[in-house]
Amino acid sequence: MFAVRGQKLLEWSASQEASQIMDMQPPPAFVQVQQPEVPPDAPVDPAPIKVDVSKYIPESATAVTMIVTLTPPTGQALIYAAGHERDGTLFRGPRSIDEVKLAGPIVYVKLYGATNFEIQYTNYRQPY
Amino acid sequence: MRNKLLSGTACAALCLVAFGGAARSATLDDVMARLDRIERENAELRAKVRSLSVAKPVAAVPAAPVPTDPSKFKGNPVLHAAVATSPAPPPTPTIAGIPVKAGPLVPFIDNTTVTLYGSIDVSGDIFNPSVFDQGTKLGIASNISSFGVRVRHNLAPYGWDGMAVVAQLESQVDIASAPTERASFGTRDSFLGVESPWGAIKAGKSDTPYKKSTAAMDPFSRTLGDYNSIMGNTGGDNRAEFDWRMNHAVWYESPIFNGFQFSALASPGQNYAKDNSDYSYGDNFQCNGASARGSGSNFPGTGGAVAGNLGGNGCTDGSFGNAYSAALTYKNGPFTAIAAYELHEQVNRQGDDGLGPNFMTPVFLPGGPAAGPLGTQVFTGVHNEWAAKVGGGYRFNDGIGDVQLNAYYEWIRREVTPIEQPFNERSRDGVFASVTQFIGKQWSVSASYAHAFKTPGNPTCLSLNNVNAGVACVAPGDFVQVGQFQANQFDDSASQYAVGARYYFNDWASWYVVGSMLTQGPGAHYCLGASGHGYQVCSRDAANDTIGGATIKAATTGMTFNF
Repeated sequence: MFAVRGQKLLEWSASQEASQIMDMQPPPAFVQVQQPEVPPDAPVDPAPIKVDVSKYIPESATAVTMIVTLTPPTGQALIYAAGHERDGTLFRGPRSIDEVKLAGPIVYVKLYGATNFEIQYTNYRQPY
Repeated sequence: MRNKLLSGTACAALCLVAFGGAARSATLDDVMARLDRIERENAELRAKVRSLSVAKPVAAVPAAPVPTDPSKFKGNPVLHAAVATSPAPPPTPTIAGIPVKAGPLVPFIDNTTVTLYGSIDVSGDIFNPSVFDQGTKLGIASNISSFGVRVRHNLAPYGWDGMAVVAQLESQVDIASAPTERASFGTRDSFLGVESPWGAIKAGKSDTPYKKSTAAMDPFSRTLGDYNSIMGNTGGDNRAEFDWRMNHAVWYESPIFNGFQFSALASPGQNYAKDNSDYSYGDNFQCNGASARGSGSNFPGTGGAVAGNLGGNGCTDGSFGNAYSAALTYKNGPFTAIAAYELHEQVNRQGDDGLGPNFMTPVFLPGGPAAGPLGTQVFTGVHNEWAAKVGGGYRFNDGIGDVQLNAYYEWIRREVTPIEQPFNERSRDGVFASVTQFIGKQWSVSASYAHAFKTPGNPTCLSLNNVNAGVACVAPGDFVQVGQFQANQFDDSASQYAVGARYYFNDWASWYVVGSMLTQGPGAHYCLGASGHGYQVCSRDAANDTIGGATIKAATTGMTFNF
C-alpha cells in the first residue's frame, strides 16, 4: 500500500506540472514516504485433523498402508503419527498410496490446498 | 454565426468550471488526507487479522467441526473430513536442489521412497534341558534380527491413481552367532509387487498368511517362550512347518474392508522329483520345507543328508510340493478374529521309513512282545499335510491399563493310510492362549500357555535320559530297551508355559525378561525356541540323541530395537 501511495504522489506531481501552466503555482515539495519494517504475513499452517486408526488396524502395527483421495485433486496431505510430524508421509492428489509410520492409534492429517480427504486402509505392518 | 458564437461561449464556460474544480481537488493536502485515511483503514484491518491469528493458535484449534471419529462412519473403512483450504503447500525439502518426498529416507528417484529398516533382538539366556549330560548353560542369541530395504514407487503421477510398485529385500542378521548363508541378503521376506485399491499382488518369498494371522497373539515371539515350540510344529523338534516363510511364492493381500482382510499365497513345488525328494528348481542344496542348514535341508553335513546334488533324492524329511496358504482376519475396535488354512502337497517323510526309491532300506521298530520275526515295519510315505486354525482376541481396560486376550485352536493333519497311522506323528490338535496386561505406557506383563494333544503314532525310537542314550533299539524286541524305547507306545502330549515382562523405552526400543518351561510325555521331543529364537533348546544329548519326555526350562532377558 505504501508503494501505491508513492506512485500516486508521483502521478499527482506530474499532473501538477500541467496545471502549473494555468495556475502558475510553485511546485510542491517532493514527499518521500518511508516504508516501515513490518514483516509480510506468513501463510497459515493448516490445523491437523486427528484420525484414530485403531478400529481396523491392530494396536501392535508399526505402519499402515493407505490410499488417500484428495479433493480438489491438486491438493496434498501430510499424514504423520503423534510426535512424528517431521517423519510424515506426503500424499499427493487426486489419489495416491503410501505407508504411514505409526506410534500409537492416532495419526494427524494436514491438508494443503485440499478441502476434503478420504482414507482407505489397504494393509499394515507388524513389528516382525 | 450566432449559433456558433453561443456554442463557443458555452464551451469556454464549461471548460473554466471544469478546470477550476480539478484545481481544487488536486491539492497536496487532499491527496495526503485520502492516503492517510486508507492507511488507517488498512492498519485496522491488519490488526483485526492478527488478533484472530493470536487468539486461535494452530495447535490449540480443534479441527473444523468435521466428523473425524471413525466410529461415526457407518460400515465403511473410508474416513471423510474437511477443513478450510490453506494458502500454500508445505515447503518441500530438497537435497542438491532435487525435491524429495517426506519420508524416512530420501528417494533415489522421483516418486520413490526408499526405506532402510531393521529389527534387532539380542538376549542373554540361561537354560536347562534336563538332559543327563547337558546341565545348565548360558547363551547369547540374536533372535531373528533383520535388516532390509523397502522401496515404494508411486505410480499415480504416471496415470495409475492409487497404485504403487513395491519391493522389499530383507535379510536375517546373525549379530551374535557365526553368520552363514542363512543371513545372506534376501533370506527373509523379499518380493516385488504392485499395490492398488483392489489389493496387492507380490511375488518372491514371504511369511505365509497362515503364519501372519496369529503372529501378534504371541507376546513372547522370538524368545525362548515363543509359541512355535508347539503351535504350527507338527513333529515337535526345532522346525514349525506351519509357521513358515515360503520360497518361490506369489500372493495376494486384499485391502481392509469393514475390518476384514483376506490374503492367499501359492507356491509351486517346482521339484525335480515327482515325489518331491529332490531340490526345487532354483533351490539347490536346500530342500523345500527346511530352513537353511536346518533339519531336512540335505545341506552337506546336516543330519540325514545324503551325497549328491540333483538326483540324490535326499529331500525325505518334510520336503513338499505345491503349497497353498490363506487367511481371513477381522478387526473391529477391541475385537479380533482369524481363520486360516494351509496345505502342503505330497510331503515326503520317507526318511523315516527308508522306502525312498534310492534307498529301499526298510526301518523296523521293536514291536514289543507281540512282534513278528522282524518287529514292526515303519510306513510313512508321501502324503498331504494341512493345518487350520480359528481364534480371536479382545482388548479392554481394567483400570490399570489395557488388557489384551488372545486364543486360538489349531488342527494339524497328515493324510495317511490306516496302515501308516501308528507311525503318524504329524496329526494332532493344539491350543494356545495368552494375556498381556499393559501398565501405563511403559510396562507390560504377559503370560501364555500352549498345549499339544497326542498324535496317533511315532515312527522312531527315542532315547532314555541316561548314558545309554546312544544305544539304538533293536527289532524285534521290547518296547523299552537299554538305551531307547519305541515312542509310539507312550504319550506324546506337551504343554508350554511362559511368563514375562517388558519395559518400553519408547515405541521402538524395549527390554524384556521371560521365563518358560516345557513339559512333555515320554513319547514327545519338543524344543523351546523353535522357529523364533536364535537357537533351539532341545532335549538332546551331546551325541545328538533325542531324549524323549525331557522337561526343558529357560529364562531369557534381552533388548529389542526396531528402526
